[in-house]
Amino acid sequence: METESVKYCTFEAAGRLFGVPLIDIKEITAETNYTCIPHAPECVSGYVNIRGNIILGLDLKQILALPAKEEDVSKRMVIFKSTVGPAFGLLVDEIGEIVSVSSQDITSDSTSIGSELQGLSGLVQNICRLPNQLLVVLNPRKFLPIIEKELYQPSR
Amino acid sequence: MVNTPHADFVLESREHLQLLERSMLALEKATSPEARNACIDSSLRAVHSLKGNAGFLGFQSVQRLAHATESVLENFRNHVHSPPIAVVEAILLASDRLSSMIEDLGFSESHDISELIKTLHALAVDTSDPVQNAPKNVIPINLRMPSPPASVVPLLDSIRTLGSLRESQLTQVDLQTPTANWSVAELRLQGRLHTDRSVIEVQRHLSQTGAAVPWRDLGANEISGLNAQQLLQHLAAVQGELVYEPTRLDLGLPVQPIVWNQAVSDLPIQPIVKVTPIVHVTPIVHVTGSPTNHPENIQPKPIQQVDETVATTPPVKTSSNELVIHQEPIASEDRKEIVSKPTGDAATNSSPTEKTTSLRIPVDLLDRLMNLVGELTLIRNQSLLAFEEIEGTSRAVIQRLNSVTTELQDAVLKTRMQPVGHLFGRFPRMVRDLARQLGKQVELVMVGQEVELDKTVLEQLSDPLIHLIRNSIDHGLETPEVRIRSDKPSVGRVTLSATAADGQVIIEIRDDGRGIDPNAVRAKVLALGLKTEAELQKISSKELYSYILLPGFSTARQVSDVSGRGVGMDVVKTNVERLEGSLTIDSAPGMGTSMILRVPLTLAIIPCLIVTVGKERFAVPQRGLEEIVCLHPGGESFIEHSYDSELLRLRDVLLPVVRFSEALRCKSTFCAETKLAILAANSPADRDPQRIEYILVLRTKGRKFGLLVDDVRGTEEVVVKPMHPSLRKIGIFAGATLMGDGRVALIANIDGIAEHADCYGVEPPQSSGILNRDPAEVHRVLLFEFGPKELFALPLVQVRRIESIAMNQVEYIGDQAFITIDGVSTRIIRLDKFLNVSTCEQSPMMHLLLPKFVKEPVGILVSRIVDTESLSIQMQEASIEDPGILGTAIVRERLTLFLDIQYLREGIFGRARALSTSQSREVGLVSSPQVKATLDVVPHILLVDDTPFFREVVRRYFERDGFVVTTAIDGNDGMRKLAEGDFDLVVSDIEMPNLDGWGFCQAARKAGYKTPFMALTSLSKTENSARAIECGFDGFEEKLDHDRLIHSVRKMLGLIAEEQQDGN
Repeated sequence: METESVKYCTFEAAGRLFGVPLIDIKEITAETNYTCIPHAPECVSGYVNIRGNIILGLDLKQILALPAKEEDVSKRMVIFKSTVGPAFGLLVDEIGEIVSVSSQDITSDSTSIGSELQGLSGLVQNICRLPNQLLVVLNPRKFLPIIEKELYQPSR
Repeated sequence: MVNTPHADFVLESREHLQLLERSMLALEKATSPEARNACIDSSLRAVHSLKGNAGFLGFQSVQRLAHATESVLENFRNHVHSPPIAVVEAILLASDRLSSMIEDLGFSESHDISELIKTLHALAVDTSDPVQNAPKNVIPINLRMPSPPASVVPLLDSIRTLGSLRESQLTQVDLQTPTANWSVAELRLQGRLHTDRSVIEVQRHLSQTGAAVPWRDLGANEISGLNAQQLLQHLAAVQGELVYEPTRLDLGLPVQPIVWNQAVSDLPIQPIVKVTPIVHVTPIVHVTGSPTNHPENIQPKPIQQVDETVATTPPVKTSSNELVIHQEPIASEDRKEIVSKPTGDAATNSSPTEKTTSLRIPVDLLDRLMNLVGELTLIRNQSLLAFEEIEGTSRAVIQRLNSVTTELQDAVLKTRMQPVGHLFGRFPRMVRDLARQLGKQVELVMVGQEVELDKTVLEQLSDPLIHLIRNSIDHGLETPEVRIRSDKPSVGRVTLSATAADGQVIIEIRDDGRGIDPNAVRAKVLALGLKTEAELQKISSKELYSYILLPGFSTARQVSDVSGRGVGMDVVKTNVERLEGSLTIDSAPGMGTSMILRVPLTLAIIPCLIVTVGKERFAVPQRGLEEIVCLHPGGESFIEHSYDSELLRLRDVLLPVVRFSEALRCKSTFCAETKLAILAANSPADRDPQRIEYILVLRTKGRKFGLLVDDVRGTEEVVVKPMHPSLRKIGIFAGATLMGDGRVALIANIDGIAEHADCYGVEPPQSSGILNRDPAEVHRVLLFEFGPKELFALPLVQVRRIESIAMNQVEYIGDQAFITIDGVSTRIIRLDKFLNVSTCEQSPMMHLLLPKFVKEPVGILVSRIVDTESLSIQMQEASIEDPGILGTAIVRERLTLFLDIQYLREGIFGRARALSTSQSREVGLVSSPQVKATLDVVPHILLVDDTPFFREVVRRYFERDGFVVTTAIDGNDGMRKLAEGDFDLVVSDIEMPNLDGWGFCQAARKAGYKTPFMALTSLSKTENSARAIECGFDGFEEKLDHDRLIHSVRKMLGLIAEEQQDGN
């Protein structure tokens, strides 16, 4: 291929398609045995044990304030590499395909994002034009600062 | 740290410099030339390796400085007298500089070391051993020794009478021989003789010994390798023998070759021995008989054999002696490989030069190992469950997996442990410098360096310890003049000791200085308004000294460079507490101060109580846990409401209660409204009558509160993992851990919970003091009944356990009843048979109380266990005339009888047997009637104990053994009684009011009493025996162990001969 392309791992949350750069991902797990952490912000699902390491799970839908469905059972967690942040992962509804997007189809213009995501500026890294829909690419480095901020301003 | 060659260089260099420093410090103290040489040798090795490494990596400044240091050391090698202080000082300075250069490698070139190098060069040029007279002549010596090795010794001795032999080498040389089955060798000595005599004199002398033959170089092979000890071991290992054989005539040499012979028929190898310098070759090889010369005899025939003393000969005496061995086949083809290690470390036995043999492993690798082992444990647990149903071979496999996993876990945990010696190692230098700076003379004694501690704990202990040692030297120790004036040796002593006990490591820093003036502390406490005069009257000395640990509290009159600014002790305390440890101070004015640090072995694993709230499990660290109160519905205790908080009446204290569930639910710190809302939600009237609640009584930072949880699951040792960095702000948790089922559980932070709930708790009512000061000590006693009329009591410390027994299992022999417990036939004591008490109706199930400190299998039959009770035993002695009753007390408004277990026991087994069974292997024990008969005067014992109960128990022990006993209630009383009477033995409790046992013994010793003293206490022997000896005690026994006590007392009184004890 002539043009450069980036690979994204896509996943669904509340019926929407999101993605994160594949290069940031360490692994994907189906472990759902969470221990909830009192006093932590709402969007923290809790701790989970992945082969002896304790990983902090964050709930994507809570962070994005997307509606949660009752029957969400088959949750998966995308765990990020330690270069992204210490031992954490993102809970999503469903893992989608890995897509390869050529650089010309990636925009960093966030004005086209739905209004409910506007408040979380910085969290959205790019929008990609896929053949049949748009892919919202999230910046995984922005997740932990969000919960830290929330801990320091509990009134929010 | 990045794992580059430089990182390794830094780590290695640190070790070299540490060794250099240690060796220099040891050098200062070394008294013999041999010891000094060992120190210099080890420092040379360290500097040399450092120089080599630095050169290899291109750190030129480091290399130059190391080189200069090496030259200085080189110069003082083999000096008879110790190098001047300036040399040690300069080398230490160089070591410091090297260390700072190495820590800052990138800029090591920019250090200005020219001055330092100049100083070092000056010292290096100054070769004169100032005290030793420079010898007139240096005569090179080349000797061949025709009849080794027996004749070497006198030769060397005679050379030594001439002067000192330096740079000497002893070499064994092979002489090439035409046939394969025998060989020739000779020993050669080379060196320089420093002597006052002339060359001619020396020559004449040597020729008189008949040893001097012209030196001919025949290509000696000199390979360093084994020292003398290793040579001997080697000889023993291959079971060879040293044989003298006649030499061949045609070589024309009057030599007696040494042949290294494995089998008589073939002679494959032969050693070449090289000794540098020759000092004590004597013990290496002894040859029986005298060497004989048979020049005509060409047949290889063993003439003499080395006798067995070879293997048992003591090792070469001087450590600088290097004995090196080299093997080389002569004409024989079959080359045998023989171990030849190029260590050359002859000083392995001397402590300052001990080598650290270890492997460096990055800590994160260890952490990963820990994680994986944890995961393996989980898999094991799952397998155990999965295979539980299946019979057959798989079970054995799983069981092996089980045991291997457990052992692996232990091993991995151990990798984190390091000996405290690593930490202590840096103190001698510090103490030395500090002592010089302050003009004091200090001797640092370090004990227990092998005690191991988690690496992380060890690292964090460094600063607190440095501070405490500084304090001891600066404030504690007096100047030599003051010390001499107060009858103390001019050299002050600081003892640094580490002991391990009960999962904790206790580090004590003790000095024999002026101690802390309690009046100064009192004055300061008053000045700061911390306590009133009346309150101060009541507190114990330990408690008083604990005020020193408060911020801004320093009694030092002058602020010195080193300490005394009032900051520090509180920082030390905070640091130690952060490690889950504690710090206590004890001091005797004029005698010294001791600071005791207690830290857990590891922070990685802590014992926790697992509790549940709702559906979640939490781990509560047991360290702060005092007790657990279970609230039964309709029980006697329940939660009451005060203005805004819930309280529990716990004995005499109103304990504030925090509901864990509320603390978890409410995200923000409790305010008045939250508290009222909680009260409203949990009104006493709405209590669920079915629900049992648990309150953990927790202690944190001197305050106490109750934490209410739903259920208590048990205790577990958990591996602590820190909270996620993004969640650090959550104060109520200290971390997380993995449970056996693989789920994560949170670890509660007791401090954080108390703060979150805005609960300041109650100050424990001088908890540390209760046991020390209340004359009627609080005991936990077991209350029980036998017959319907009497209530009996026994302190819980005397109870081993209580067993339920079915009466139809009891067997009878005559009127003696027995029952089998733990496979042992146990004699049942019915109280009505021994005491004048009511009998009991037999029911099918009864209890058997098994007493402690009784070796025979006996149990007391009990019809009903009433309760346990904490009470101060105020016994009314002798209100009942029954020898089996120690005394009585009113408990719960009933007259309660305290049993004398020892009496009951003797009633069954008889006195002699009761003692002799426990000491059954001892022959010829003097039993008490004989004691009375054989002694003109009955031994008189002074018993000092503040607790009436124990005083009574022990008094009875002694009196029953035929001694006369006088009692005293504390140390002061003891001193008075000592003055009044003539005692053969003093037995004293330690924890007493007014004057405790330590002080009492010290005072008595100071006053000149030579009476043997025995400490009798409930304190742990391992922790305190050292102190006991220091205070002047001659023995140390635990309370209530009758047999041991009596045995020790008899031994101290000389009624049992020592040999019999040794014969055990």
